[in-house]
Amino acid sequence: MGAITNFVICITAAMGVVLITVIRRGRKRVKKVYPPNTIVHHQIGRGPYAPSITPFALKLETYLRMAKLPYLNVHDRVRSSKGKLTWIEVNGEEIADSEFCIQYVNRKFNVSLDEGFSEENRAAALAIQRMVDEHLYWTLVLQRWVYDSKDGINISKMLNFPWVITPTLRNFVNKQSYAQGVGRHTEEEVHHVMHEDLTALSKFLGNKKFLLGDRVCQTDGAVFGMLAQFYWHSFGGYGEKSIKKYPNLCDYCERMKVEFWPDWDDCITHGWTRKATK
Amino acid sequence: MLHLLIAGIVIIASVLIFRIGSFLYKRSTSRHNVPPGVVILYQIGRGPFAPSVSPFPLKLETFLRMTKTPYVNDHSAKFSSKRKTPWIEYDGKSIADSQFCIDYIKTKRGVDVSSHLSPSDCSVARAFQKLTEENLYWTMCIEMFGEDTSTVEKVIPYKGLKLWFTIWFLKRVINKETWGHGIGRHTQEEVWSIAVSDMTAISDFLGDKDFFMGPEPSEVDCAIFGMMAMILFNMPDSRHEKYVRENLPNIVAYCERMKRRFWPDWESHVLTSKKYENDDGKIYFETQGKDLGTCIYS
Repeated sequence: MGAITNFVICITAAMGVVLITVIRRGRKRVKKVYPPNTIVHHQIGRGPYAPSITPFALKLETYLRMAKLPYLNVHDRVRSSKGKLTWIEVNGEEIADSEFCIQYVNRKFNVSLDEGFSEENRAAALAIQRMVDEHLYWTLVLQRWVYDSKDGINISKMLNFPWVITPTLRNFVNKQSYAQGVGRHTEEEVHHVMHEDLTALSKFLGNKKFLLGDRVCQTDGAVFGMLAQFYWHSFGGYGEKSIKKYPNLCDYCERMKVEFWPDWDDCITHGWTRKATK
Repeated sequence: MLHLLIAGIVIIASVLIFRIGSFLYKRSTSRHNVPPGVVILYQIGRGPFAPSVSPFPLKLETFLRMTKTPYVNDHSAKFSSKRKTPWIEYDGKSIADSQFCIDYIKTKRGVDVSSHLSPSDCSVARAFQKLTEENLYWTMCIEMFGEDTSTVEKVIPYKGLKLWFTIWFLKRVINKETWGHGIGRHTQEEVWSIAVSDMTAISDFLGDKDFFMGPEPSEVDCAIFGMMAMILFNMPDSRHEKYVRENLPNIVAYCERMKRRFWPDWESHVLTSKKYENDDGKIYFETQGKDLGTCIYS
């Protein structure tokens, strides 16, 4: 009986998702007019305890603040040309993928946060960004969407979306992470590689204020965006317990928050108790 | 007549499915009896231009050589429980995933070729391994299995229908995997720009050092060498190969150095070489096994 109920719920949820998607696609995207030479950052709504529940939106917005670039946020669920939720448009031109967005704004606005660091350090920072965005990320999504529910964390309540969608999202994450490779490991193995990445980050950062020293480099955006999810959006789960084993990474998160998000409290929903004003 | 035709189709389809299933899913029963402490390295067989057509078996086998771990090759091309290759058996235990294999061997045998590195250096080494295996690798797959598969046809050591099927199958798998990964959503030129950034970063960090982290080799050299050898030897006339040879000469020199140091018998393991010898079942570094305890990988 329970199995049949679950099955019916999943099918209903899936049909609901399909219906919503079809309706949305049917609606023509109305092209709005934004101020010239202003970066319009499309992202989903604010998060409960950090400005975004997705590491890439937080990475990108933090970067725009680090580089002191003119931008405004549009909190919508309009997807980019690549099917992802974080993208920008500048003077009507659309750019998808957080790394390409950063490269685009660097060229457009003549920004180079990495200038002044040695070639070797810049290369190392790029490698750190790849490790964080292409590997640590997958341990985070598996923990959040697949493993945390086993530890009693109600992720739909924590992230404020309808619970019926959870099985679909979980299935989606399982499929994507299996294709990528990390999803083929056992939970214990995923935890192990998560720790290896966090250990590497911690050792690389050491006592430094930021990744490469006293001032930020481009990769600080990526690292902060990802670690913030462990630190603020793991809701007492394994991800949070993991990062707390690395005090210098926790201090780094707090430092980045103070430095680039003085208006942090206006950019979060405080556990969905109020609307973010920014 | 119709019944015979249907029966024929069903029989042929069943045979095909059985053979494909065996190829993909059948676990190898150990074909080699080895003394305790000898690793059995299962891989897909030697390549026409390098000891493997894939970077991961080359990485793993280079690690075994770097640490002088006794090992034997099984080139029967069977897949692990994670549907991946290479994988190993060590004293009866099977371990899948090249990096888990390395970690297992390090724990069981107490070897660590990166012990001379500082904690910060170890971090950078790990980061570059991830850059290489979780990012650059996919740009190479997209290059090889994109519109033009002429490069990969030169490298896969099959012919006729088997070659066609292998390429068709791998193309489907890679399309699925790269879409799931994310990189498959980019245009060809965007993927190429990612590849250039990664290869340049590897070259910039290597600089004029003999090995990736300094004057002595370390574990990350196995991963970097595996991938760079893939570009230089297994991707003839590809954009990656041309870019490295024309713009990143220190990587070319580095690969030659790694070959001399850990693969003095390189030619014996290259199918198109006159010196090629089938080493299936041959034990390397035969010595007393050293087992130091438990490891989480089982």
